[in-house]
Amino acid sequence: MSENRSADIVVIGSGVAGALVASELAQAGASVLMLEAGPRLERWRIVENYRNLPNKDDNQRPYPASKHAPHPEYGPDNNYLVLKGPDASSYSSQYLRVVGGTTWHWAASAWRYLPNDFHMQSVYGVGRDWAISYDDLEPYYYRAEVELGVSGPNDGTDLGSPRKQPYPMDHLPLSYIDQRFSDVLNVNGYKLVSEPVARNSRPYDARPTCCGNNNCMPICPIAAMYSGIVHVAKAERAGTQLIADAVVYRLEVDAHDKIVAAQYFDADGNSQRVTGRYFVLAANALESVKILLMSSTDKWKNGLANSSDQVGRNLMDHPGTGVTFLANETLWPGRGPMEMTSIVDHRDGEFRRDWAAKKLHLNNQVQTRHATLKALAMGLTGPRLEQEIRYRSAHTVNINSFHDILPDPENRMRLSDQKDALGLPRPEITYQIGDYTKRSAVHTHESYAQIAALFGGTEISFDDHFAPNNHLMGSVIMGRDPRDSVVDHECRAHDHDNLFLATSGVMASASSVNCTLTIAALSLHIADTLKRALGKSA
Amino acid sequence: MTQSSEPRVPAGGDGSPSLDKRRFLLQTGVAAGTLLGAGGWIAAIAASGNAVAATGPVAASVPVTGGGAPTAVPADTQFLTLSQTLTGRSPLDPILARRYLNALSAQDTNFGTQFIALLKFVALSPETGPEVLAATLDRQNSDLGKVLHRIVSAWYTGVVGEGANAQVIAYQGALMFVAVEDVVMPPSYCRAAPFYWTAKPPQVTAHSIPA
Repeated sequence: MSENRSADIVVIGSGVAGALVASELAQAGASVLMLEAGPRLERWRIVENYRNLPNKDDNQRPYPASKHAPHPEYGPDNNYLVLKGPDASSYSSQYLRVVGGTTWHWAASAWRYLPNDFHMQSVYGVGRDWAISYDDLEPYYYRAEVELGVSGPNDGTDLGSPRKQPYPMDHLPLSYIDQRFSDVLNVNGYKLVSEPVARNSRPYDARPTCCGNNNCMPICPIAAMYSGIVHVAKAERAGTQLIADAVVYRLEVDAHDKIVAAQYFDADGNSQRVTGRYFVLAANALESVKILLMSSTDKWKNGLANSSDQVGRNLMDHPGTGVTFLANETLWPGRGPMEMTSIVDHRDGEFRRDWAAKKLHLNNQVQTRHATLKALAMGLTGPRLEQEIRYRSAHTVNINSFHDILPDPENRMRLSDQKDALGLPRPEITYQIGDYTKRSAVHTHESYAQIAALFGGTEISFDDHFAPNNHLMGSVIMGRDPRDSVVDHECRAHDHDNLFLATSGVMASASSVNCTLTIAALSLHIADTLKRALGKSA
Repeated sequence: MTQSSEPRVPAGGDGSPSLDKRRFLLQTGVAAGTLLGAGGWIAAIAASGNAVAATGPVAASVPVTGGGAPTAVPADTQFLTLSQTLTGRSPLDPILARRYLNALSAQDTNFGTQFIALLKFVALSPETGPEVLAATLDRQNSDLGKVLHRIVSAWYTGVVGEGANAQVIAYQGALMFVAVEDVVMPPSYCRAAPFYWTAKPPQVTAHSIPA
């Protein structure tokens, strides 16, 4: 074997964050090793897995967890995450340990944060400030939009995040149900917008235009939607050596607090070791914490990068609630991609001193299956059964939401006493959702009721239980002060100057939008820092 | 839509049925009790589950006529005819019918008996539409009514069984997708050009009320 055992850059994790860093550095001429705990999966296989799946609602199932690198499964529950605390079930998160990472299945919403999201403590007196501002990140947001291929409203719609360039692609034209919601809500005091998405509205980056497979989750069959595998391929073409099934269990640190090596178990369970000049931990907000905590030494008793005792703390997500009802008009959700619009009138404002910002989004998922299960449960057969399937498919409306949550050091991940097949500890999570979020959810419920009324809603079903939205943030939090934060403005560990954290774990506020574009922007920022460190032009 | 585009059932599914390998004929003109006996025989085969499927599951042949010369119709053909009556959709796919029958038989040891009883019930109710059939059976024999609904459910969802036992027999061939195919498609199968979704879809105004 001609595997390099040493590289300029060792990237741990092959999702959108790690793949972007690897792709950028390899293209700049650096030697890059990328270690991925899980296996490679082919897109066609994932599609076939989905089509053969009895429970089509289970987005994890088409990606069977490997024995050596398990990820959470819930149908049935493999109990990989050990969940505790009053709101344990609200952190029953989904993520994938496979080459390409969790953006194999996502809504592809590619939002920028708002300027105030970076200064929650300074502006609103709650939460924490980041160590960077929106203006610092703006150029990287744009580069991320170009890399991922983001289509968005180039028609002057103000989404609150100032732009210097238009979106790389114009937004996809709205589906009929999204048009109707736009028409009705926008004259009734709501602000419903076409949302920016990493989904092609024209051929882009050698990938086709979205043709409305309505299957963004769990898998886009034609790669019209971006996923991290796009940059894995680019990284490999540029010379990155990717080792799959490499479960990193320890980072080695020297007497000068530099990271010198990563140790991993290979597919056969043998321990391997690679060395490097710089290490980029990009194994998501939970698995990255696991590696840091497992790497404890006599000097670093609480784990690496953890002199602040903040590693694993401040866990955040976007607690979600929902509503489903039957509209009094024909809407037919399910034509086009799964999500196209959002309601954004409570993303920012003075209210954030008291309650959480939020984003509501209309679900454009095809309703055939749920309509059919309901119609069958009514005992129908024959023409009446089909009539009811058509009625429910055409009239069902489902709206969901993301609520902000404040970083709380008591919401944390630790290493469980329970072990996985390799003998490595499982993540143990303690989680509680505070009144700041709950107050907002009460308001959201009222909005749901008003929206249902605007559409003459019947069979209105509120889902007020906070659902996880798999946006794992805060666990290696960014800040200016090394005493209360894990990484600095460059996402560099305060404690180890050759260790970078490329994960949504660095985010110091949750905001109210999907975090992937911000992960991508931060990862490109890290890549530039590393290029300069290696003497490559950034 | 051709059968070849159906999803492959993973190993441990219904295998590759070879129904013609073993045929068991029953004489016609037998009493109801014997019919149930035949059902019991199907059940006995079904009870051995995957082992049967692996060696080529069985098409029991059951009598349908009241007397006269011995005739026999393979069970999968009977099931196809019955399914067309129960769903009101014709013609249904004979290959799917065979696979639904095998899966239903494998998952419930009583299915063979119930299947025979359903055949008999339907034979006694000629020219009756699926809704009246179902309503009558739900009223007169709710246990057998459940079997009727299980068969209808299989055809519409493409899935037989529940929870860990759930088995996908068809995906895009499931009748629920056929019922809406003029407007929406089975997720992961795009059928139209980009932006088709901007057009106003057809109106649907009527709810169904249970019969």
